[in-house]
Amino acid sequence: MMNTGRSFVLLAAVLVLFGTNVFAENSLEQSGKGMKIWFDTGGPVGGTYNTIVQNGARQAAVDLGCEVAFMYSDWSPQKMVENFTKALSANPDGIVVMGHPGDDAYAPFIKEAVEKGIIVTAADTELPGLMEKYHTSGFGYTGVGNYARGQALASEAVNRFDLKKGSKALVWGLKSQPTRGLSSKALIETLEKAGLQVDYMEITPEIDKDASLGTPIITAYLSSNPDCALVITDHGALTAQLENFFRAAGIAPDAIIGAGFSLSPATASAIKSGYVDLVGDGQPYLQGYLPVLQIVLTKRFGFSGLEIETGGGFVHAANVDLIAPLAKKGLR
Amino acid sequence: MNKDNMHALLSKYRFQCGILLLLLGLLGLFLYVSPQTFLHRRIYVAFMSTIPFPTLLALGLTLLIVAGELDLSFPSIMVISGLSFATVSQTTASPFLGLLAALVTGGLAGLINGVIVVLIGVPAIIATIGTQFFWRGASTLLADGLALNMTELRDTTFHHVMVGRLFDWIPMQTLWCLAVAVLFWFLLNRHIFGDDVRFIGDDINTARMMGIRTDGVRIGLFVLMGLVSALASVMVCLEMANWWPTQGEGYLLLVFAAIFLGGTSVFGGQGTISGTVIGSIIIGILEAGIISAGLSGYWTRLIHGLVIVISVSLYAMAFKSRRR
Repeated sequence: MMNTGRSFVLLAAVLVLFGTNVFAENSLEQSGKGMKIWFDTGGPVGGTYNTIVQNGARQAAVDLGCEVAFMYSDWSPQKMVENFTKALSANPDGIVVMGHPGDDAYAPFIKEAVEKGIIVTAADTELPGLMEKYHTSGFGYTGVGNYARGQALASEAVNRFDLKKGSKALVWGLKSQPTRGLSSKALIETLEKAGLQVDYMEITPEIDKDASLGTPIITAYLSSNPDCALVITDHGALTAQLENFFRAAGIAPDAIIGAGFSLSPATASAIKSGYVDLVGDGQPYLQGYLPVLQIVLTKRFGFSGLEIETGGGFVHAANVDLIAPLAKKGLR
Repeated sequence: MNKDNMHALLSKYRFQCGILLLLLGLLGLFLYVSPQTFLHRRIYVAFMSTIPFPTLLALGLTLLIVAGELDLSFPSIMVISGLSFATVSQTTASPFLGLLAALVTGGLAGLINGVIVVLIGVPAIIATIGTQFFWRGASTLLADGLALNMTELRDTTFHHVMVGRLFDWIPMQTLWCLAVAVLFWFLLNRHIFGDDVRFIGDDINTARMMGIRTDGVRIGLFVLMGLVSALASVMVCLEMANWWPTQGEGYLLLVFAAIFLGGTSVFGGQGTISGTVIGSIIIGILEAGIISAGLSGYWTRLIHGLVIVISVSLYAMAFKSRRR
């Protein structure tokens, strides 16, 4: 009788356990199912950096079960605003923007989106004013603060390579772009604060699109400034070509310190050959994945906007072997 | 040579003389302003390693424009041919097969342009805007948007032959580019094909009445442009040891600027190979000259624009006076 009783209790327990699990499984589903999100990747179709952002967003879409439509802006702030208005007219559940145009340019359109119930969040470049205003409506930010990333790379370069006061440095960047230009500004200011003598060159739109056109420019600069000790490119594709630039200019590996942002297979190879010494890694994959997650969680559970710093440190000769295979797959 | 002959010769080659003087004037100015850069061999090696790529493209496009046609798709033909080169050379471990694949791809893309424009009758500007999007999209899709690293080709004989450094300093791409320029000069000036191209550019109906196979020549020019784009792309991939999905995008305006600076008429029928080569060199050295003079990069576009506008205005004035 005791045995029968025990068996009954055991059976009941198994049934409860099984039943609970079954119900639990039934009650859980992909949180983004049925949601539509428009995502501006920022760069051109197939751009080195924004493709990694896109890969992160694509993975998030698969994991969460939502649909993501991608837009491309060729890093043009004007096109980003145009793309936003297009996304707005499609009335999706959420829109991910790159913050390059700045708070003022986006303000009326984001206001309209929030009023329509569309969740908007920013990636790569922050929109501090809009984030403060729409934080409770799910407006978040995922990325590395532009000023912070510039400051971090410049400080790391000065400390790591023990650059002395009066040393000459070149910053090749996009200072003229709103918000995005803060990175170049921080590079210049931090290096100058450390006592370095800094020259700045603006990247032309042609070189911005096709880095191969940059060779004579860097050669001309280095010929005129043979005492240059550090070259920092505030541009992923240009960092990837630093090895070719230095080779063409007749600069030996490690003769000049080369630094920049975003790891690509070519940059990894340049680190190994000694032409690139330091790369700031903003983990763009996360800048694609997390904004999609933010929109889904806000839409479903009403969470407010999250501010996530994706700056993941630096890639250099000592750790490049670990990270390079991931760069080849478009994940780092 | 008597004075009249000299005058006739100078008059005949006044466009070339003008643009050559502009180039020499600019070089003189840069030498004066930044001798530390322009008296050093290094800057000329850098020029010789990069200027041949847009020059090759400009040479192909000059023939097309002389024939009254246009191709806006060459940056995208570059990228799809470069992808063929990168993929085939990596899978077969033979860069030579990669070159063949790139040339076939470029030739086919050019043929498609030719068929759409000549046989279907779509204006070249519209057709090539369409194919430009198509090839760019196709290459990004095929490569999944990822760049391909090609550093393994750096030590191959193929690399040395195509973009190596002759005597350890002359970039081979300069020699290839000069060879193509000479070939195109013969085609345009010493071959019946060149006459056909000019007649078509002047007046296609008259050319037809003269018995010129205008369709064949025009399609041939598009194919030639495709082949040249493929060759330029292979060289860019080798020089940069990398293929990337936005390759070629920055060349579009620079190539057109070089051609029109070189005196090629936008209306067709008139253009010179030497003018295009010199125009490409001027466009290629301007920014480096500005930077080495210590001016900010912000000046680049302004000076580019100034040089182009003044040059083409002078051409226009000279052309008007000739027609009077």
